[in-house]
Amino acid sequence: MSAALELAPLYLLGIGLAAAAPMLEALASAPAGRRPEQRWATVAGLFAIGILADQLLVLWLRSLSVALAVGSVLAVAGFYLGVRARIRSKATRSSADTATVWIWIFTLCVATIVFLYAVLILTLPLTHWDARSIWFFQAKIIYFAGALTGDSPWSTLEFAHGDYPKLIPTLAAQLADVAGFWNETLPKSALLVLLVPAAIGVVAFTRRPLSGAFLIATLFFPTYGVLWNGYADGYLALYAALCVLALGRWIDRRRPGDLLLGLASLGIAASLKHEGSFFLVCAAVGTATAAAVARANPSTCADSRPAGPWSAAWIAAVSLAGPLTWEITRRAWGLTNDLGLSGRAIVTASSRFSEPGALASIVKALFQGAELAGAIVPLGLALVAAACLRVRIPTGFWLSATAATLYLVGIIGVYLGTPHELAWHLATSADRTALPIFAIFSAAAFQLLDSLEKSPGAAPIGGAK
Amino acid sequence: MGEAEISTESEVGSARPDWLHSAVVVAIVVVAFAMNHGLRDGAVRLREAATAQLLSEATHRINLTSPRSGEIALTEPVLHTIELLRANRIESFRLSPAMSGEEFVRQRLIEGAWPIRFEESSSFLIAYLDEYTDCALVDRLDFDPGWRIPRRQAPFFAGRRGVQLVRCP
Repeated sequence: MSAALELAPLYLLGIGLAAAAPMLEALASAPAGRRPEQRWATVAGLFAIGILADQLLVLWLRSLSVALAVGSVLAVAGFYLGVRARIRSKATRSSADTATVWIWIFTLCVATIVFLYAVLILTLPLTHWDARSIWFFQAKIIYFAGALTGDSPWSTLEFAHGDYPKLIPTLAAQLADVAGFWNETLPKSALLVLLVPAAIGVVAFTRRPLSGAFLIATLFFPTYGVLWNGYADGYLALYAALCVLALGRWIDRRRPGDLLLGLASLGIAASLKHEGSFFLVCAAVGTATAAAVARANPSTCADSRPAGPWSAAWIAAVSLAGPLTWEITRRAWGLTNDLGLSGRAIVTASSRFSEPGALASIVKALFQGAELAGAIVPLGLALVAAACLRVRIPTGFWLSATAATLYLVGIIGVYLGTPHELAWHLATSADRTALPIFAIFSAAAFQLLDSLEKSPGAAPIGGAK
Repeated sequence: MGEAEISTESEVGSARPDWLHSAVVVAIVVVAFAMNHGLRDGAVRLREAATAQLLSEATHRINLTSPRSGEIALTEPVLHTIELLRANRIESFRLSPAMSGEEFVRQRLIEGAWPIRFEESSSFLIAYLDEYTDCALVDRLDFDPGWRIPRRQAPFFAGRRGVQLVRCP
């Protein structure tokens, strides 16, 4: 195993601790933070924000070696701050953890899944089209330049889509930079760096056997083809689902670990692909909807000291600074998207909308590509069951349902406005672009199933309900 | 905040028996699995693919810690053309019309050869042996009929004997 890969977790966790410094006291002292699901949420959130802060260093400092040096100093400082917050919080600790057996069982399951994906990621070289021509070619350009600069031929090599967000390319380039060479497998471990925090984050929601199994299966199995081959779509789906789950639970419980994980997942989703920026808008509207529902129906219960507004604002700023910086940089370098989503796209979309069969073919391709019915039908059934059994619908559900619906409508709009031939565009991408829709709808279904399974008196084995 | 609050979860429970809730959840999960092929097959495909990789002899040849390892993933004509560029220590190249016309060949050569840059103004040109060029031959590569080319990529090289690296004025 390469030292670059072995050091990456420590480095990213350290940077994450430094980036989340204003929230560390709240994270360490929250009573609910001693529950395993909150521990996993906090660890995943720290990893995720570490990845974002690391990307931010490359975007701001440009040079890979300078960013690595500054990042290393930050990582050391982060561990110091983390240990200090932990020691200070000891005074407020009072009893043993309320361990939930199912979380540990699911932790083992997810660890196995991550191991199997790691085998594929680390042993299969880059062969798939977008992986070679886009994400890892960009990484190769950054690695050989030693920096992310405008001097690289981002606009002349049109097939490399130089305008695309740079999270995967910068991570891959950094791993190759630490190793000191480029090959066709080691940079792919950037995918493993993204997979681990997402897996830890997913486990943080698996407190009950049936709904937990449903969540793990829906997030890790339909994405099988795109979690190891170098495409970004599987990771966008994972982080979009994690974002709505974490922010949804934060609205209900106000636990700082959930807020950290939700915002960091949002930042990662927005840094993976252009669709991630659109998901950001969907998640914002969904959060506003859920917050309105929570205000109108104040039955939710905070079981932790919520993070202060300034620390929450700081985490939001760190999470969203990367996508914002890249957007500004991209415009400054004159890089435009091949879809040209502007006034022309609206004209195309309106003409295609009136074209017989065009809308139906888009909906059909999306529903067949990712078998969306596998998420939407269970969601509808769970909603009916919740109404019939008079089970409380968690506030976070409204976030997920709103975000998923808006995202679906938006993706349909993108296909309507595509300048490419519609049939070709659908055939080459619909199965992948529908994955985040499937994942977010599945997250919404999970929230309902979790509430249904959490019936009175049915406490999970070994833990609190 | 007191310890008692840790286990407090607000929920409006129903008076219905637990088994009913569990049965409903089981039924919905079964429906989800029945309606999504990826849910049913994803786990099996993942396990089978990972196990096959672990047992594969090719896996043991892949070395994470060696420069350029894994380049075998490139089709052999492309890989050997890139090696031709490296052997001649050139810094930039351009492609003949026939090569530029095939997206597969063009993209694989450009990204595979990097940091040797693809530049339309380069004096070095890569062309198939059967393409006429009015330039000085620098080096040539004959395709080996024994090379195993994936079926989907075979049409790109059908009838091609090899490539030439030429220097144009």
